[in-house]
Amino acid sequence: MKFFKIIFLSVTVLVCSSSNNLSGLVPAYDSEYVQASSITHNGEQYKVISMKRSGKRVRAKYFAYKLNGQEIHQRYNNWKTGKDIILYTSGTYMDVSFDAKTAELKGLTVDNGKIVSEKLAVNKFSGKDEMDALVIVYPHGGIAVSNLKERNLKLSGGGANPNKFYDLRGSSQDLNKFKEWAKSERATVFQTHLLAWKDKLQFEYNHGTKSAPRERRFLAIGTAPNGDVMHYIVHKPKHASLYEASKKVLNFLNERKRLKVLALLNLDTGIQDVVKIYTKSGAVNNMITSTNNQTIYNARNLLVYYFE
Amino acid sequence: MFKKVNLILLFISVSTTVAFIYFIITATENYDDTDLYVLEECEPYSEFNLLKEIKNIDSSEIVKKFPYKKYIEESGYCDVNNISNHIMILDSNYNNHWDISMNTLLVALTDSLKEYKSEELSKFNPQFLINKIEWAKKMKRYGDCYPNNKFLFYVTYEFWMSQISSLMYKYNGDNSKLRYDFRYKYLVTCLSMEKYFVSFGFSKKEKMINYLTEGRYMYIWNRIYKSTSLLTKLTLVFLIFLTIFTFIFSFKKIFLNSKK
Repeated sequence: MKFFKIIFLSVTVLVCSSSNNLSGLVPAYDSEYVQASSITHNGEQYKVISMKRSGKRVRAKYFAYKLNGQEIHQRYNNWKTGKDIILYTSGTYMDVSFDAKTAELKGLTVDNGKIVSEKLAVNKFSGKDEMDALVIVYPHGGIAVSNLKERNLKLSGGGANPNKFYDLRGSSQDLNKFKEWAKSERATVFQTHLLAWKDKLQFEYNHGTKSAPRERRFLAIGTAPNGDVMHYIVHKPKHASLYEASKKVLNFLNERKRLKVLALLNLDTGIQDVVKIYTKSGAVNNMITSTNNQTIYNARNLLVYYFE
Repeated sequence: MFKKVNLILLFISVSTTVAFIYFIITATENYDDTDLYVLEECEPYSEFNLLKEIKNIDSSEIVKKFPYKKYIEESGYCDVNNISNHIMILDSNYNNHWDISMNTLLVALTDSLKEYKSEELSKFNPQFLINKIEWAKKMKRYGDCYPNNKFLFYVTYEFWMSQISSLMYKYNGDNSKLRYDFRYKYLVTCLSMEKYFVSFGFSKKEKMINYLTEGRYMYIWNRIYKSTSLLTKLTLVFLIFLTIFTFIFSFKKIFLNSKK
């Protein structure tokens, strides 16, 4: 009898220690830091994942480089073992092709110090600069956003001058230095549209072009009234133009969440509309799904949030 | 007098012919099979005497008064040995490697050279561009070989690759058919291999063809169903019915004729 008790206890301990994603046993993340909710504000529905960065338990990771020929989903699957994933979503836009296997990424992209795309984004018709958000994902899981229009990026470490403002658009020297810095610091960088900056929309409604109405997804970074740095993934399922959706989401975050929005960034919901959210017990949360049934195999780049 | 069936057949044949002619014109408009050769960007052998040119220029004025135009025309800047000699001359003359030697030659090989070649750069000139890309690629290799001067070579490479890839968008904006030109595609490939991607996006027609060939039927359905107006939906339904209608009539005509 004693022998069976020992066996039973051993099996229980083994199961509990080997799996931290068993529903109800060991939570994948702490709901004090991460919350998922569906909110209606001014008649519009918003699906929101709020993540508190204070304490640095919520971390970000970005995948864009096909290391040793591995596709992005393969790299993600190898990396995620033993991690408590909060969500993953496609980040910036695909370029050159619509197929994740052959596509490249739009704008300057660096993954863990490896250059994926060398060129800062330019408008395909005019050749002028576009996509003002330069997102830097640090190895410790933090995210910083620089408004390229302000030409005042500050760098530290990696041989960079901490007192200098780097102008990546206006100076080839600064751009070259930034790439050298990213390589030596194993930084991760991508570019996307900066929709709002410091609580202000960064673009106006363009009457000349017809923006396709579609579902929209954003990453918002800001400060809560109590001073906590917050990251929000906001999904707006009702189809809208980019301008209309940005305006409403900024208003929602300001009014409803009382968030001081530092940056509102666009996430790709086009042909590469990849997203998956997990509950705190580690199960899949179907609150936000890809409307085009895209799976992780269609991802050319992935922004992942996880909990440690 | 045309019968109803004959009108439908006429409609099909005219629309097919127009589509075919449009396709042929679009596809061949910018056809050019002229070969591109990788040539030297400039004459590498030079009698240019930099020391003589700068002997009366003070260190405080060298960046401003450096003979940039003459340097570009005569110095043989294509050859790394010439550039290395010029760096040594500037170093020995002014003893300020970073602020004078590197900075002066960087201005010469980037902004001054761009201004000097502005005429060639203003229009799509594939032979000029391929020479420039190859020269810029050499600069990067020199940077790997000469770590002391890596800054100059790398930034020159960065400058020209960024400039040329941005100009490719401009050329395509000036003439949207240029993207079908073999030489344009060749240059885009050369830039892509250096991770400077040039992509013009796709028109709605091209997107549709891509989605169809990739079998993304649900995506097409979703886009049409959720993102188009009622009028567009009705127009599409009308066109689908018209196509089916014309096919049925054509088949009926063929079968009826064959039975008779």
